Amino acid sequence: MSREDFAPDLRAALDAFDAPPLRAGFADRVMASATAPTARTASRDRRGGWRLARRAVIGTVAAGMVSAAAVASGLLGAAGIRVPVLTAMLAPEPKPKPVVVKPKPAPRVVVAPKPPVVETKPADPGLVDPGSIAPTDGIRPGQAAAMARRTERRLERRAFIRANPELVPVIKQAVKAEQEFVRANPEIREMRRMSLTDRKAFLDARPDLKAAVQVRQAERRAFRAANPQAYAVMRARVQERRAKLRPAPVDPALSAPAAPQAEGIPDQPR
Amino acid sequence: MMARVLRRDQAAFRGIVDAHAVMLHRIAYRMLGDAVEAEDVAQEALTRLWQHAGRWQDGGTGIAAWLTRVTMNQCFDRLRRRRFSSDEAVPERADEAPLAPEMIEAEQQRARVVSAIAALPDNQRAAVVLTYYEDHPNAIAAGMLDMNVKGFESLLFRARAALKRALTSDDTGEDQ
Repeated sequence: MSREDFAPDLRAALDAFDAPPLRAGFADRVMASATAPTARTASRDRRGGWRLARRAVIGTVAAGMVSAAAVASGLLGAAGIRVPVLTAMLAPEPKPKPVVVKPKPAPRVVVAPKPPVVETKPADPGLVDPGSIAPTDGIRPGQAAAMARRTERRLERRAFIRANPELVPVIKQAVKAEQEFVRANPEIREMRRMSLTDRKAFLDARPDLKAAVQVRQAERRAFRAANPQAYAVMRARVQERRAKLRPAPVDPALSAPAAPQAEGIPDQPR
Repeated sequence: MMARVLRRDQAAFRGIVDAHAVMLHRIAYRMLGDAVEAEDVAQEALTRLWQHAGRWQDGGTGIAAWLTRVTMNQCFDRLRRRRFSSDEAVPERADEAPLAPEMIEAEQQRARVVSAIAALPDNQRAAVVLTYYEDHPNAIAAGMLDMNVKGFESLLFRARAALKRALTSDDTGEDQ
């Protein structure tokens, strides 16, 4: 027996712990409580309802967490299953690349080359900015400046031709005559770089050149007399160009206009 | 008897209540240390028997063992809840009767035992209550607590040692 396993002194002590008697009417209370099932059942149903709701919430949350974990790990993606919200949140698909369809090459049509178009109408110089002719890559700065200068001159010539169409043939004839004179007497170029006193000595040393220069001066005077308007235009043009090209005057002798040059004609367009 | 209870025979159930109520109340009181709470536990256990009669299976441990097991489980639940809700000890009801010296000494002895048993862990206290106070064999008591016999005997051994230690030290402290 278990009771004998306790030592006598311990048993004597434990016996002091007696239990009080049940209160009167206990059995009646138990019977009343047990045989009144409605309230009891309602209470248990209410608790059961809470239990059911709690289980449903726990189940839903657990399923959501499992689905989220599966989507995040790519498990469902490998199986081809899409969870509507979670897939978009945790494993968004990359944007589809646009499909580029290369156009088929058009069949080759052999077209006869057009004849080169010759531009007859000059461009409006007011619409073209000389500065816009900027040097391109691979061109030296000096070369680019010369190109810009030539372009500017060409535009000026075209503007002059458009403004004075009746003088063009006269001026062309005069320019041609001057070019032929220089071509026939190449020393003229060298002489034009000299001062006036040096030019005189230079011509005195070459009587044939001096005679040619005198003939040419007579021709220029005749041209000036016959075409004063054209001469005035050409002279203004030469002076304008000289003013542009002339650096700051250092030597008054060099800055003074030379006699032959005073009656010179503008350069021929290249 | 349970077949009659299943047929909602209130007289049969009344017989079960009369036969086991005192025992259940005694167990609950020694486990909880509170007479009113012990009545609630005993009433709850008996009411469950009435309500769950449909699930009763013959060949089991019997009505007394079933009721004891339900009572013990309810005591464990209440002790657990009491631990969470409050640390205060259950106040003993004050006895206002004039006390003779012998009664005072007996009451002091009882208080020492009550406090020693209350200081035991719940399962050790249950083992002492079932074996010493209810005089159940170890095997039956172990089944009521859903334990094997070896484990129960070990538990009981520790409970006896703890009680002896507590009561002996109390005596020594009083002498000093």
